[in-house]
Amino acid sequence: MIPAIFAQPLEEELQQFMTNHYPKQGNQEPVILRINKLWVSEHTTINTETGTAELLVDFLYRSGQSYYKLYTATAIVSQNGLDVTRKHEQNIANAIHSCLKEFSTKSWSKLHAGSILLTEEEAKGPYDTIVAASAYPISTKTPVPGIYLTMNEFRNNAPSITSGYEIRHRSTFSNIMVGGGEWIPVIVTAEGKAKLLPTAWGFTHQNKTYYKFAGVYYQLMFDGSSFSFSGPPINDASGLIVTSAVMGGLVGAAIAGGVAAATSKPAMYQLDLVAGTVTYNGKPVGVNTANAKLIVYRQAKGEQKTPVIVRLNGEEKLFHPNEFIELDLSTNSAGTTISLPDDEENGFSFMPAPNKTYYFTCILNEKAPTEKTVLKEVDKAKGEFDVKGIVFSQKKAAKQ
Amino acid sequence: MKSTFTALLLLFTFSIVFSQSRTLSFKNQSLESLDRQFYIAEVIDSRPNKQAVGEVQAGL
Repeated sequence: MIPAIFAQPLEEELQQFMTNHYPKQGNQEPVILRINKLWVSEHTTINTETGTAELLVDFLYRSGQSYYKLYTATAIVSQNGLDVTRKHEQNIANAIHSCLKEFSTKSWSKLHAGSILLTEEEAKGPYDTIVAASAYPISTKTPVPGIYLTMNEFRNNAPSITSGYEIRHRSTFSNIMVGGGEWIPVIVTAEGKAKLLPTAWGFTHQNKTYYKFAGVYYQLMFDGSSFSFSGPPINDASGLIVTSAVMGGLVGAAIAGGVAAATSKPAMYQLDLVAGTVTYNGKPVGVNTANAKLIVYRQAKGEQKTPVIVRLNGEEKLFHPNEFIELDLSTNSAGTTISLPDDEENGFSFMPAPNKTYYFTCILNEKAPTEKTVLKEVDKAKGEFDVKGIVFSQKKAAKQ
Repeated sequence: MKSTFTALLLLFTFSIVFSQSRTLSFKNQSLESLDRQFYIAEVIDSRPNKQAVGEVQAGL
């Protein structure tokens, strides 16, 4: 490995880049971009290379001799493929764009109202991760019980959901090798029904804090200065998580498939409070969801022909007989949830494994006494066979 | 003969020195457009280590 450098000092490179692409227009406000961390790295395996750019920036505002910190943003951008060395500039540019885009969506007046006053020395001095991390309320105060929707809520020890929720225990949870997933937060409706909360970042329950990583909640440990958790096994060479788990039901139905091998050992991850990243042995990790797909179908052979509704990551989809949908899960490394709209308690939550296609079928059996729709995962052989049958039926119907 | 040897030595030395780092450049890099209320008036580099921006493969 050799160092990657810019020909000019970073300030000059970036200033030029920003001025060229995002020049001052009209009455735009002047903002200072403070680069606290910029690091590109590569992980190489036999089959592929991954190039990653990590960026941690602050947005400052200057008024006279005073500086105000308005916002902190982080981004990690990765690309797989051959010769990722040539893609670092693009990864950095994408990371910069991501941070600027996040900042641009914030209310200017709210940013000013919540800004932190800095001296010139503080604004321009070297960035100290330990000092920055210890300044967050979560590092010094007892965690407030509730559900965090963002990492900022966690940093500020201010969960936005503190009532109207429950933390459910998966009573028959047996996937201990993965080290997490024992508890899950749900929103309880006025009718007493539990609803999954796919947007949750984590929660604090009975003085323990849990963080959602790749769709599963893991208990965070705090050693006085940093947070860590015991999570799913990892491939040392690639830095990518190698297992997946599909967990049926909110309260402990059987694990449906794709579980970590019994010989796999949980890995110890660090949660970087400042950068908002998860690292393993000091390097950022990713969830390998490449080519992961989800196919949900309704064959309806010998069943009621009424359409059924399925909730996919919080969105409702309608299925008529002989219909299926195929979703690319590679873009959703935060995990996937699938359930019936009025029965989220018996839904499924899982993190997708690479190169795996998950098949779910919806059944509305005529002979079932309850006449309720059933959603279940089926194996690849049956799923492929059924979907081929649906495609054949669709083609046949189109010809008529 | 001596001058050829010197030239080859210099070339070899130069290639070794040159391959000790990879220089990144934004010259040909594009950026997606952005709706914004602000512009970047100044960039501050507060990284504790300003020597490099990463580690990459040396290549062939």
